[in-house]
Amino acid sequence: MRTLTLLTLIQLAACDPDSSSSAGTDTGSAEEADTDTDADADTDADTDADTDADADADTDSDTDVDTDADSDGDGLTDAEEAALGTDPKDADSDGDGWDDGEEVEGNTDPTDAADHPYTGGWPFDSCRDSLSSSGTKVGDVAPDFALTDQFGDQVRLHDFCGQAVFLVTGAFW
Amino acid sequence: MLFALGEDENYEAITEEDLTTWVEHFEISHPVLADPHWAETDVYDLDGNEASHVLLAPGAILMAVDAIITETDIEAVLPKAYP
Repeated sequence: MRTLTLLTLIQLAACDPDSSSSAGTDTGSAEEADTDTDADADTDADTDADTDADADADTDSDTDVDTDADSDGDGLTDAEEAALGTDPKDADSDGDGWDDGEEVEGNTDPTDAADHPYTGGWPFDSCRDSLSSSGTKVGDVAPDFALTDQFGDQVRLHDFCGQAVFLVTGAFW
Repeated sequence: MLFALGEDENYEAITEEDLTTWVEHFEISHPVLADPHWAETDVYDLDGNEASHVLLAPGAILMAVDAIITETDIEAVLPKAYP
């Protein structure tokens, strides 16, 4: 019985992230400020290893991001932001006035300040960057253009690639 | 619907201010674009005349260029309604 208890303690110690150090993870040593925001007994350095769906935060800045946390409240999890290259602690990574989540939902690039949803609310289609023009005759893929709209935004024809478009040209005269 | 304006009443290149005037006058809610002297949209130039209307299907596929475009043509490129 005593041997079993000792063995169990050894096993538990081996699983305790605070009991050893390893590269790339916050081992929770005494000088580091681990927190346990969701009180699930795991420190925030853990990537929600208990998969309890609680939103652990990386509040100790240990560079570990938790898979289900949205630290900046922009609608993207920290893990998604890591994959996209956006800042999980800045809702508007490229500083263009649009939250990262809004940009992803709107099919614009949250790391490019020049690429953001239209002020007029025109929808972007996800195929916008995958089309190649093949000509100007019926049956061809039309060439793209970028023209200024009434809100001062640069509108690209291919941004509307997922829908039918009726393009009308005209003049004041 | 995209509307690309090329020139003002004096045949001068369209400006962003002109766009605002046009949008407010006609209470337009779709994109109105400034294309000074149709520099971009004249790729559809037909026999020396700029195309005044172009219909594209999803995928930016050209379906009609300056032809008579009917309601049937437009309905053909719109998403099909659920039964």
